[in-house]
Amino acid sequence: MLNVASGLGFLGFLAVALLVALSERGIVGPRRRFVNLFLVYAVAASFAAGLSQKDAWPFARWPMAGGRAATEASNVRIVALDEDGVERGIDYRAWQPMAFDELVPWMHRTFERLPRAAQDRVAAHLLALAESARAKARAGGGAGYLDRYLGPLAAPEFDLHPRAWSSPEAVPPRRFVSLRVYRESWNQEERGRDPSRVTRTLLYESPR
Amino acid sequence: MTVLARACGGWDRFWFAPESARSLAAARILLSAQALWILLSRDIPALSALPVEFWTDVPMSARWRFLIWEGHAGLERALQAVALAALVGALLGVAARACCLLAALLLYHLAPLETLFFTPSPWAKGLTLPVLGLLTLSLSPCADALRIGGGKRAAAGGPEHGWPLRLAQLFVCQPYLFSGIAKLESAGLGWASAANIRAWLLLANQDDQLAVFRAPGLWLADHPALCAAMGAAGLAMDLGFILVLFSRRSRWVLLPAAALFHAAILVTQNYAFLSAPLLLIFVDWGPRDGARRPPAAAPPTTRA
Repeated sequence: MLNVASGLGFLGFLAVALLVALSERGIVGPRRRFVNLFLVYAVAASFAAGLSQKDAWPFARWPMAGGRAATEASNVRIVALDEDGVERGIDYRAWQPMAFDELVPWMHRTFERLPRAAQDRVAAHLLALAESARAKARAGGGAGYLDRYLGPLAAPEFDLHPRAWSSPEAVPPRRFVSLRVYRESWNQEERGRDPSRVTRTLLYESPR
Repeated sequence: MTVLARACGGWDRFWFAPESARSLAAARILLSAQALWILLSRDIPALSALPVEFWTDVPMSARWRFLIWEGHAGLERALQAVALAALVGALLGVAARACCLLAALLLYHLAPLETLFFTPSPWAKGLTLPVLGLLTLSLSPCADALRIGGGKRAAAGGPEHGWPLRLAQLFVCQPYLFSGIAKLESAGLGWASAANIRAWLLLANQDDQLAVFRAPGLWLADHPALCAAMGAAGLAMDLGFILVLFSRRSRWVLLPAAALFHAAILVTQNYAFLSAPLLLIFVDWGPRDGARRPPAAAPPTTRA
């Protein structure tokens, strides 16, 4: 329902913009009336999203760091198994063109609900991405490719992530053959006192 | 004078106060440069080729809303090429209004493609303000200055340069204001408490997958007075930034403060607000010596 309303909201924005354009050519008039209509619409639509905190992108609700941060936290961690069966961390750039900021929440929310066969197909895709990125980074080509045009000036993701594979020496040398998906959960105060106080639950392991 | 007449007068004075053609043109350049920066730092068309399983939770209404259907990476690549060309045109001021319109429409389609498999709202990804801003500028004389082939002498500006610039500036203020409202609606003034700020700092710094800068945030989290000060300052910035729309003098304080605010959030919470470069839209890019200035004030009877 929100998608429909938001889509109609943007169409309305385009419609009043069209009226402003037509008024400039004298097809409708007077122009100032339609400029005012456009301004009223833009203010009303954007403030409706912001005040109600119901997103109608591009009229966004901008909920940055809203709410109370929970003391219990959790996240998903995807790791690879190499040919020796050793677990290896994966640089966040390996998932490009997907952003870590979308992939990991998607894994958290959706992946677990998929049928096993669908999970296997997703994992096969992710494993191919990870292995391809590993081989490229190990060969000195860097992890990921989204800096291909702008180099170090490329826009970061909204959440900053550490570059685990910052040099070829830091990249796992052996081929990735499987993926594991863990859910990690912790109490913030406990983890603050002891960084190892994290509970790991295996959600999925892909076939080798 | 009735209340309605006074309100109408205030509305006119706010929206139709004259602005220089250069400031409006600078907004055009900033918005198109921002969108180019993001597009050239991503590969949005490739996301159309994600395996179908990724699209499991995407409702049909969201697909129709943005006209996005998976499996058309080639088409999306062609659309992105057109968007890039339009943004370059807008940046240079070549067929600027048509380019602004085309770019805005294509960005409305492309930006959600980046996140649609997870969420239909790409608000954090840096293209929200260009969509709204470029569409607004397409209705205005945004290439009266700072354009290729425009000569050195730019148009003076006036009310027709004022309202589109002011609306684009309002859009840039909204992330601050709405984020402040989100905090108050969800947590009240207690959002700024030392305990809540500490919890946010721990959340943003304890997970090694999510943090580049860890020491500053974790250090701050152990100092309740600083946490409370940070919370109060953050809330004040969110709710007070909109003053830049009404007071040019306040910009001397609030613009550097906002830049500092983003830098502090970056190093203590690891969040990069990708629209921060658009703060430059509040700089007065007006005429330099020798160029004509717009009239000092809007004519009192600008309503048709």
